[in-house]
Amino acid sequence: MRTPLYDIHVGLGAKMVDFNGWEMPLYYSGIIKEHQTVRSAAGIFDLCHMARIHVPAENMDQLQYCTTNDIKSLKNGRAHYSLVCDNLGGVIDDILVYKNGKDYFVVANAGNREAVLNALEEDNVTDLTEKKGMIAVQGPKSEDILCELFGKDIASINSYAFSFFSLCGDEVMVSRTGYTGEDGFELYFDAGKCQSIWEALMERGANWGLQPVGLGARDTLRLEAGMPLYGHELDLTIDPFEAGLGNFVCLDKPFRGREALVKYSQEKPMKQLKGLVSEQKAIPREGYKVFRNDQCVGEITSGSYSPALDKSIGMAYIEQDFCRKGKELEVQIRKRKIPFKLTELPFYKKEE
Amino acid sequence: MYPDDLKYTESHEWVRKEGDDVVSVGITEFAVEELGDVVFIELPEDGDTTGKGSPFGAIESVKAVVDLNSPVTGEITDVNSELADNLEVLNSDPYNEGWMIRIKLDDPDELDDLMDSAEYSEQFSEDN
Repeated sequence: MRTPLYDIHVGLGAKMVDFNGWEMPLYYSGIIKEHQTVRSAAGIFDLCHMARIHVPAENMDQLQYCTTNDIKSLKNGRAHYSLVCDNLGGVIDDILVYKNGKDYFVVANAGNREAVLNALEEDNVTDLTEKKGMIAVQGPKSEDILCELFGKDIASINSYAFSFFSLCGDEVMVSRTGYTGEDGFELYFDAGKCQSIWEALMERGANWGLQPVGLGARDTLRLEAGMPLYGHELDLTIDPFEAGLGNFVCLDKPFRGREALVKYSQEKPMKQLKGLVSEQKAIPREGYKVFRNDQCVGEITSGSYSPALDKSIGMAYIEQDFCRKGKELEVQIRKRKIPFKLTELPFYKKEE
Repeated sequence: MYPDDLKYTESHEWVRKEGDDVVSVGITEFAVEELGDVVFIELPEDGDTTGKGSPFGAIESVKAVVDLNSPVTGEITDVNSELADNLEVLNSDPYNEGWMIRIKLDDPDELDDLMDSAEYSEQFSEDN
């Protein structure tokens, strides 16, 4: 599948890859360069592959039953992070839920579109994935860029809130959300407007150093920001508490998986998601084992080079007993055991 | 497009004959381009032996780690120990400063199995 921006990516010389059945840009100029651009100026991302689902007001109870966070506390004009779990408390997907008037709008991972639709079990939710475009602008200059295009009211959108704007007669929903650890915005609009909105942003953003950014840097940015990626830090075998996401689980309401999660919430998790850092540049990759002396105590879920720290970083599930800060661990990287230090997440925090 | 005086492997190593039975080995600009941002390289030690087609090390970019494969069988006599701290030379000068190891050949005839620059270019030019 191709997003409406496919031709633009190819025209920009992007290296294209398959991502969950979508042909997406991995990078344009280079992963590290694009990563640094987002941290210092701003990057523009094609997110049209993300699953987006409209849930009408009459299905609110089902949405409440299918998600871990409390829909009742979500106010109009705001979004919250939530999880969709199965009966055993394993994670089916991590999502954003928006409340727009009385209706709801769910943004889920591209690869979990079917799973989330099935979990919702409703005939009158609408899959908007191919009807709506989605573009993100992330980085310290993103507010300046969007103010140029949409007006100064952009500046008053709070974090995890959204508002509607008009661009050349078309309605654009702008939320202050993102997956990079920087200030940033995600834009939603009719799919037919994708190219013109991308081009308008690129044109106005040029003054601020806006560059296109691919999935490669999207991954390194979220990793530095300590944000989980489904299929790595989250899957059906992981419960929200092990992943450090207990804050997004409301045990006061009935929901699918609640019974299991009540039990997990009362015990210390057997393993915990932690960060690992090393001066050495060999990258701890998914599946590499983590050791304390000769004992295997965990496994890497994601790893990369961190341009912000100029170090190798990784996330790993580590057995509870070995989770204390400062503990020296080792990661088996091919033939060698490389020393890594346990650290709290995130690895990087934006300048306030 | 690729230097005429070198030979090439399918896995994008280049080979330069330095003497009767010594070659130097590196990787081509095609390989460097494919890798993207190179962040790490693992090289062997002097005195290690290597076999034709066997990995002698690994090179790592943000997205992937890839074996470096030996084009010939022999003993490693020299390793470019400065390369690890100067990975940018792989972009600026992959065929000279970007050399990785030198090998003393067990069998100089193995060089005949390698591609010349025209054959390599045909298989792996930018258009392919």
